[in-house]
Amino acid sequence: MSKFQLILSGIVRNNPTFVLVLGMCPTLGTTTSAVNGMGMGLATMAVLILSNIVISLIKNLIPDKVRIPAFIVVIASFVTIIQMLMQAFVPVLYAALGVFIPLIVVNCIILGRAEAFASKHGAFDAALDGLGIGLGFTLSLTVIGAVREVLGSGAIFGYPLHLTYLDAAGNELSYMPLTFVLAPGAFIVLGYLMVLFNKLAKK
Amino acid sequence: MVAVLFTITLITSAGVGVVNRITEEPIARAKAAAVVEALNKVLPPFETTVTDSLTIDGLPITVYTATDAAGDVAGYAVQTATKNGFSGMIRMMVGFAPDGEVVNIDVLEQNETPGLGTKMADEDNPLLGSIRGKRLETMRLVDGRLAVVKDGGDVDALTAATISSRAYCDAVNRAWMAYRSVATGTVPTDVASGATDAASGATAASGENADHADEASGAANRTPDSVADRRGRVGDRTDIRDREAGSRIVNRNAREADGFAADKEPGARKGDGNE
Repeated sequence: MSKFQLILSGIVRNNPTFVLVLGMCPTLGTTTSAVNGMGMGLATMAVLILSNIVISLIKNLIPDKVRIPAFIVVIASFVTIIQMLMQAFVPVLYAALGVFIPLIVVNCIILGRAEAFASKHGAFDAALDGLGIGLGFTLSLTVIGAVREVLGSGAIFGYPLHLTYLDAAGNELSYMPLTFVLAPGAFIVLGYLMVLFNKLAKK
Repeated sequence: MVAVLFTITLITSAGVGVVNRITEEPIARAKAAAVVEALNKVLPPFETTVTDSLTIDGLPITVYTATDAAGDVAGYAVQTATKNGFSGMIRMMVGFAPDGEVVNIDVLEQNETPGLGTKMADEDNPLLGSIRGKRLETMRLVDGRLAVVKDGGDVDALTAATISSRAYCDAVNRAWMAYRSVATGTVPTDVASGATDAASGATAASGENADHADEASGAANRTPDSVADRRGRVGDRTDIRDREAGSRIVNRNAREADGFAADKEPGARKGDGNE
């Protein structure tokens, strides 16, 4: 498999959200808007690439029986380090993404890729796999977030589309059903996008 | 096997420790900068601040008393919070001018519903519009507290976000209590007496006298005894009890309020449930 195909497979054939169906908790929870989804995706990608590299480097040192705790320790440390670095040097970004960062530790995509790919391949391939899967996750979350944002709050990437009307009392009300921003909308949008993605990916 | 796991843990925790060392100071600086930025947003120009920490309803409240170059008080900024948000804590910075006028309000942290409750953080939202530039005691208060139009007050709520709007008012009320406590040196013993203060424009005396004044106002308030009125106040009394339990600044009428609240507890509970 060429290097490019390795990255592409993370986006299409092994798309973590629509094909592997991993990491559903952050997917459903953070995609209330396109920006939130993208932020969660990018933060996950950073941790995924780093943890994949480290785990593929130390894979021969770790006894099989304790590999899961060892992976988790590595992942949790990276998440903590990234959180502290962001808080210190990019407080603006931290203010926007802060709540999502601790969630990354329990994201099973990261453990899943450590187990399924990084522990069997070299460091460079593992980094590319992290990049591909990370991009796939980021794109999926951004698309889900964008759809929910347009349908739910009538905006895209925070820019209002002005799909509003004035009621008798002069209040500005949105035509869009709020459900899509709330939890049920997350399931509905995810379900339909999953069908659509798999239909298109098969062709 | 154990040795390997131990080594990995040791190395990674050492790494985390090193990064913590490096980032400790920048994080503290970033946090301080965020506070200063919020203060600048809600206060007139100032030189220095003095910090007072209070606890109201078990929530930590910080009052920053700002002074200008001449040493006069430029305003008070209160970092306040409420647990009544639609999802999780809401933290805000409320700025008061020396005469009690609300200069500005900055929402520091909220997790409300996107597109509805999150509007409380917008620059020109109806909540802020109804409060900014006003002295709170001149507004229509319900039992001495700021309230949305739906609850009989005159704060315009956010459309389809009444719970978030009530929480906003709750946080502003708490800020107002803390402001009065620090700015005037008075201790807001309970909400009803706060309303009396506002109506008569008098500042409560301290010590023994205040106790008497509160009792008097309490009694005066209790006289018109319609059922609705009573229930409203009973709910409030329970509030007071809670407030006294977790509060450093409010502790004088504990026994009296406690007895009263225990007496009417079921009614109060019911009132809470309705909200």
